[in-house]
Amino acid sequence: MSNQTDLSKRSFLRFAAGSAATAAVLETTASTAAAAQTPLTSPATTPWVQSLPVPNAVGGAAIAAVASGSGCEKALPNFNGCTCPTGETTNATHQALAACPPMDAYEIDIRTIQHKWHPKLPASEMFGYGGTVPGPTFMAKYGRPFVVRFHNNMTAPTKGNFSIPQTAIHFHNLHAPAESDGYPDDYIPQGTYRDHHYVMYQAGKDTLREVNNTMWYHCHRHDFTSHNVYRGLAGFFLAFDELDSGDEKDSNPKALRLPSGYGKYDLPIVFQDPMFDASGQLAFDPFNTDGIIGDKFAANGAIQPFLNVDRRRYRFRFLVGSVSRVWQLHLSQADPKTDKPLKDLAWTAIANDGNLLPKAVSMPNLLTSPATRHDVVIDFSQFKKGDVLYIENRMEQVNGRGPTGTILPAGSGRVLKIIVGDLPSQLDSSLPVAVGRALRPAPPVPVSSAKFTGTRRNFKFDRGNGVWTVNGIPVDLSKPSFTIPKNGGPEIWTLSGSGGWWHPIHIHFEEAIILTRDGKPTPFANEVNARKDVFLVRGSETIEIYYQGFRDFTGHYVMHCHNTVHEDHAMMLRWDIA
Amino acid sequence: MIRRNFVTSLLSGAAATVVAHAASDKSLKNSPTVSDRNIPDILVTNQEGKEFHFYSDLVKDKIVMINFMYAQCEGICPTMTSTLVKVQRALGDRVGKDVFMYSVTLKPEQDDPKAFRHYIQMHGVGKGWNFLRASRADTDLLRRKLGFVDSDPKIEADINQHTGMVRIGNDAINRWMACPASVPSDSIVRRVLWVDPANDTRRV
Ligand SMILES: [Cu+2]
Repeated sequence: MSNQTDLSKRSFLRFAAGSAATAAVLETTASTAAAAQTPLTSPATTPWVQSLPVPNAVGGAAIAAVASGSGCEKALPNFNGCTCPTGETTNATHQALAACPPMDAYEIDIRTIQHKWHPKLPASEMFGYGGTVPGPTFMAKYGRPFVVRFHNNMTAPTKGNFSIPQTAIHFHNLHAPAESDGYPDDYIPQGTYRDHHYVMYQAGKDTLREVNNTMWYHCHRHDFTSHNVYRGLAGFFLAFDELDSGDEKDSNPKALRLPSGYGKYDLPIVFQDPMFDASGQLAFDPFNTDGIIGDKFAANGAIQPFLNVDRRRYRFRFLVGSVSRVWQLHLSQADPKTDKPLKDLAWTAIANDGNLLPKAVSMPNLLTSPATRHDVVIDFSQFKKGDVLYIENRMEQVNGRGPTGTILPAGSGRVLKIIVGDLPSQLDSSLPVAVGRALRPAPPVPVSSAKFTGTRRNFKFDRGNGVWTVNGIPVDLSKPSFTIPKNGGPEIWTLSGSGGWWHPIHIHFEEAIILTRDGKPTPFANEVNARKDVFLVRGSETIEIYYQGFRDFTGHYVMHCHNTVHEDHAMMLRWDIA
Repeated sequence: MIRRNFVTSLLSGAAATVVAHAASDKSLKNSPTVSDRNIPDILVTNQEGKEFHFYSDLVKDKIVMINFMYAQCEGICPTMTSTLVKVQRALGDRVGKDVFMYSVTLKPEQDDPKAFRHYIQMHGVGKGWNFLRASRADTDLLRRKLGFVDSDPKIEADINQHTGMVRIGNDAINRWMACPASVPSDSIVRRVLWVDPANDTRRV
């Protein structure tokens, strides 16, 4: 008797149903594939029972500003921009330290913590920058360089089958020198620290146009980014300048006087879709290489919270912090008694990927995806006390491939409940943001790409033999795929997809403007002349983007899919500036 | 052990919560691609004709590398195997001692122990790396549980587009990842070191 026969017979007893297919056919069907998977359903949670948490701002308990002035060596002992015997383990030479002496220094403690996503769920084991989920919000100013010492005090997780207690920290998409960009291989081992230097000047020192205002920072640990961001390693990073000064009473005539007051009228909100096992612990699936779609909607680390608002203008800074999910955000007014949807309201969008638009635009909804930011202004003075609005995600998506194509009806996918309250105790000092109001001018864009004579680079985001690739090649951080000359002038890149998969492509370091989607002008009003760093490639779509250049710094950077499951399974490419 | 308890609680809990959750809307539908995280304990036979229970004998509490191949493959397998041979050499005597390498055939009908032995010799595969075959049904089950399935039925049915990924994991601490076998061998070695908690405190 051959081994094979023997094997088949014994297996038959164990897997009676499956063995019917033991005949030598290679074909497998979707139904057998489905049979091998057990869907996970999170425990039920009651919505709107907790208020929207707001992350602490820098200067709060989690982060200590330890110095002012240029003496960062005094503030952070051994801060010498290179290998430090007691902690920093990569030989990062801070290339801009002399040119941009730090004026502030911060230390961040990164810990394993317990975090409650909902009052009815037990605490989940999470990682937290500064010990919180989301991490503390950095409030930076252009013209005020700073240093941060990140201490990795995380312990190995005891729950779940994911994560590594190491982190690389990417300030997405700050104009940062390569050694402070959180390059995936510049990770911080457990028990050690790493110093980052942020120059806080604009790309090309274009102080008017190349300003980034709403950013975030997150773990970029090679191959473990999806695991670790999902476990909590993310926070907001806000930067202010003369136009977007964070002061609605600003007497500077250039100031836009947008709604301000961090945590009150200027609210960052990260949307996520976690899932939980039956014991209520945060659950993940490292065996899924398509993408993770969770079954809870959360804002700032809380499942379906509510927000009481005053009757005045607010600025919201939305960020999608999902692993893989694509969202379509709607603002929907509901009947306060029945909760039934009454009508949709348009968004007044003021920024895309954290960059103020040339002018405010009206959007019926916001199509958004992992890592993308959308800033909007809502004037609640148009409502009366007791009115109820919901932020809803009506995009249906059931797997990592992309949305199903179905847009769900009003009242679906409610993420955040907004309850309108009283007039504010102080008069609203912000200036109105009507559609069409001028905000920040865009840098120059060529009349047509056909006449462009500079460097072009093409990238195809693909999948072959179960491997995610860029131009057919899986990630190799050991050498750059190409090297761009520093300050070498404008370039046009094209990003193309395939196989029906959606990929939110993130390119580090510089912002680009979308010229075309599938050869035509972008259909999205908030993408016109918008500086972006995440480009959502929908299926086989091709997006053409325009760069002013790659300016100011040298070193290694990356581009990758921000469906971080794709990223962790090789859909990333290293490029250098020299 | 931790994982198995997790699976049990997951399955028993799911039934209890389904009803309570049914009121949620369609956009919150869970992913059909979430596996139940259970590495099946299927019967496998190696190149010497020895039988093992895949999970309890070969994976439990171990650092493992698992890929899929077949001996007659003229596509990606030869390169994949030669890269993994380099990985094996770099890991030296750790292979078979505290790192275990498994290649599971996608054509169990063809790849008997003799075919494996021939393949091992031809590719210079060293000791401590097992070539395994299971029944057709168990092979597909294992492949799916490890996440090496394509959601496009056409690709899934095409043997020439079979997975080129290597699953790397440490069952003792429940840390799992995967990478393509087509990346440089030294980067695969690093990934094996990354699932070993002894290296959490240093860069490797
Ligand atoms: Cu992708």
